[in-house]
Amino acid sequence: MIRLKPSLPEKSIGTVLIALAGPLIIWGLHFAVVYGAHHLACTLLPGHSAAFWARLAVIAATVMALLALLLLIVKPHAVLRMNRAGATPDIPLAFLAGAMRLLALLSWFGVFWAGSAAFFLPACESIV
Amino acid sequence: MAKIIEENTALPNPSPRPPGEKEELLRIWETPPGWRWITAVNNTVVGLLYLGAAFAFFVLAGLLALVMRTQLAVPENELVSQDLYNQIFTVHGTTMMFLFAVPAMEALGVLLLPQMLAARDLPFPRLSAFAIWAYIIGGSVFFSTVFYGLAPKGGWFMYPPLTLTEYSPGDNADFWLLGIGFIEISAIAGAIEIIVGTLRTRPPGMSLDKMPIFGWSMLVFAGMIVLAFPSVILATMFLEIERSFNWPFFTAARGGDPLLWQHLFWFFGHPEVYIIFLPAAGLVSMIVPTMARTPLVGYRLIVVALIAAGFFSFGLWVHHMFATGIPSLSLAFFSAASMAVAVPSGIQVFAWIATIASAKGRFRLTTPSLYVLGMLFIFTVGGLTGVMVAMVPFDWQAHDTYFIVAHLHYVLVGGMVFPLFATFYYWAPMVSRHRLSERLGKWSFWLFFIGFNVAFLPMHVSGLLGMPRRVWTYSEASGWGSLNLVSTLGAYLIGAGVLVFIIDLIRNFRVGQSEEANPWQAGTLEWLPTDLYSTRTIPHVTGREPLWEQPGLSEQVEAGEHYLPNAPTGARETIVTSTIDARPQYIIQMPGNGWMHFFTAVFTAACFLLLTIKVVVPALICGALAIVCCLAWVWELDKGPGKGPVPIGAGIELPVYVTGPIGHGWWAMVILMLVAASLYFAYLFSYLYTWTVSPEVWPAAVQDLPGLQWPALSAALFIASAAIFAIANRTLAEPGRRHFWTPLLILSGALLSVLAVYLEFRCQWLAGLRPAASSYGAMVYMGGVLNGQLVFAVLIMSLFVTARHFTGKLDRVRSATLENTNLLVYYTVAQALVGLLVIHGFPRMISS
Repeated sequence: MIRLKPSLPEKSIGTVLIALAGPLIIWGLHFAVVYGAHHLACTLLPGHSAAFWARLAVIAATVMALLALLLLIVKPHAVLRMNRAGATPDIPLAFLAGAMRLLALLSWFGVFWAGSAAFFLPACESIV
Repeated sequence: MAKIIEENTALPNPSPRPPGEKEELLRIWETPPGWRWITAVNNTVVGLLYLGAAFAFFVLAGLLALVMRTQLAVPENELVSQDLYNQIFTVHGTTMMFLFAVPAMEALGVLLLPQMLAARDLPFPRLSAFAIWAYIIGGSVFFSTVFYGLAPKGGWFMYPPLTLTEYSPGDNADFWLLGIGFIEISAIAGAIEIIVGTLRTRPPGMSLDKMPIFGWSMLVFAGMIVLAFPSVILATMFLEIERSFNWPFFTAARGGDPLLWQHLFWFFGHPEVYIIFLPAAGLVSMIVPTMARTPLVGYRLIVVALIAAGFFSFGLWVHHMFATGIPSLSLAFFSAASMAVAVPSGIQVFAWIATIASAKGRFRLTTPSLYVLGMLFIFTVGGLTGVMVAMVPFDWQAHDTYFIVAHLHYVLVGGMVFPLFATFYYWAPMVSRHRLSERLGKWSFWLFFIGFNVAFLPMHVSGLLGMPRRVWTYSEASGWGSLNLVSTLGAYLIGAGVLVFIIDLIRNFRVGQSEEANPWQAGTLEWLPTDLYSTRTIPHVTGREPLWEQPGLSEQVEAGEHYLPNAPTGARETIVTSTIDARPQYIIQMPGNGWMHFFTAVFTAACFLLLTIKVVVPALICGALAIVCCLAWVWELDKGPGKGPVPIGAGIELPVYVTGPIGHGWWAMVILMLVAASLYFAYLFSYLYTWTVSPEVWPAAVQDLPGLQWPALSAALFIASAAIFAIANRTLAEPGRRHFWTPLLILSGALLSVLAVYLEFRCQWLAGLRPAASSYGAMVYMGGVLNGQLVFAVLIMSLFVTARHFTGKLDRVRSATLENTNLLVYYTVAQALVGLLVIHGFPRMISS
């Protein structure tokens, strides 16, 4: 009879979170930063300066988010191994890495799509 | 570990089982006979009750829709008054969203998940039962208001300023705010249950990559509820407090902003669409492979799509506010997210089509299949018009017209109601002695499908012709009469389709053991033979479709050849497994039938409803009784380690009691903290948003603020409180012994937190700030209220663990209740410290 002591494979919950929520958290952070920074810059700063800083904030946040997502697309296993989940078996880990790569790809387009608007639209005015 | 794997291969174990095991399981999991069935907590009993109640609300709200369509059938009709029409469309929308769609999906989670995971039940059966009774009582009272003129009239979204006391006097709006707020609590309770259930009660071997797609979709669904619902709970708190106490969160003249409501409401309201759709998509992903007799194409892609749609849906809320004057670039962010979310939705649609195509003509055209195909058509049309309204310029043209009514019904009915009817026909044999009728089912489908398109397709045109939403009637000169008549005829066809389904239910649905095992030859575990105790044994799973991949599994499970063939603790129990790879970890000892969760629901409902009609003292008495019943309910949950470890088969013994991060109670508490954090995040957003709108009501000089010694003292008290609780945990005595210090520390820790909250209110009052004077004052006091409610919970829990200490139920080993209390204390202190920093630091920062 084997008496199992409940060890803590729950460390692996970190792996799950990084794989399945990590790319989308980057998308969410980018979304919050561009919307928040844009709203604050356009509300608080005067005229021309507001437009400049609003656009700069959007572009900077977009570039950073795209680079981070690119890392997850190119090196998903490396990122997952950063969380030392120890006994996580190979098949679920491969599944998680593949899912993370696909999620990062979707997030990459989401970030690019939102951020690229800064090149086409006036920063603080309404076009109506 | 290698030895365990070797033992696992020994399953199935064909050795004969001792006699009487099945009888004992039946006795333990028995449903109480007669009227005492309301004490039942089995997932099959309460899940069916939940689903039945949700369907009843669907029928009632559908009848209201027919009244509306009859009113609109011809121009200048006066069948119902304008005031009653306003009540009807508000109750129709509110009921469909809050009392039908979300509860129906939670009901399916409660009913189907344990069967799909071959768990004996979800980990907190009484929490499910509480959520269901709270929903039934609160929902019934809310719906009944339409019969005596007390129903809200502000639309299901209840926008202020229309819903402020000035423009909506009386109790009508309060029934929405308190009634729906209460039902949201029920939804969150269900979500906690579902998250812990999917992550911790899967059968051994069912690693994440083998979990049924419905499990994934319910996990995403529940996670979205945890993050989205607090936002609308905060909004309803703001509006009810403004209506009752005149704190001006939404009154522009005192620095508030009606658009704050829209932000908070739609931060919940748009994810709500996906909260409804994603589980329905999960159901479709289960039905399609069975009918195609082939595994689902793109399993990993569908998992990715579910998660991505869940996240992206949080970036769409402003697309309901495109016409509110927000700068174009901001609108573009939300427009981009609105289009991006179409990608994961499209992935799922293409995966279903690919699965059907891969069947190479073997796809069975049954009633569930018809409803799935109907869903594919209707939801795709709704998705395409969704991409249209995601374009800001088009949205400005279509905003608040019948085009939007058509779009949202195509998305919601196509995305949720059709899959739900497919579900009724597909899973009925799991809980009913007979299948539903294929003949009646096909009649029901065609009436529903044709009726739906006849009703809603013309609305695209009437909307583009300029017919606004929510109008009570219209003039003959508008030219909308014939389109509306066609829509009304279609609505009656839908009603006929639903009626045929109800007749089918009456004729064929009989709760009990199915005559056929696995009637659709499906591959997933819910089609294993079951009884009151779920499956006789919990199988070791090696694939995504175990019944297809493990021949003879049904017979082995029924013969007791897998895990947990008996009840080693002599009570209700199931196996908890690890999150990723589903290795057995311990046995949950689950509570059985009882009254206390039922009375908790009754008194909580009574408290909220009496508050609605301003009968304060009886409401408070009911609130106190609800707390007492809740404590009586949870008193027996922590059963301690006395019965373990126990054998579960395959040569494995598991403990029956654990504490710390491995325990399911710890997980539930962490999820509850996420709910609280989400609510507080929405509060911080509201605070900063209100400042950007009305900075002039914020203090102009540091002298107007309380001195820094006040927040410093509050912070010190909070930190001391957390430290004392941590020390209290270390003073716990060995089993059978007691330390005098433990209860003293627990109670003093709680009292320090109470004092810290009091000081925060006191210093603001002494500084001359009043909550009704401006939105700044309202926000500052609201911060204290949010911390105060957590501290109140800490105080109650502290009294509870102290009582357990004195009765010998709290010691160094049996410490789960204190550990969970400590978790809440640490979260409360963290939130309070952030609050102090913002409330006292931010005004200083901007005034300097």
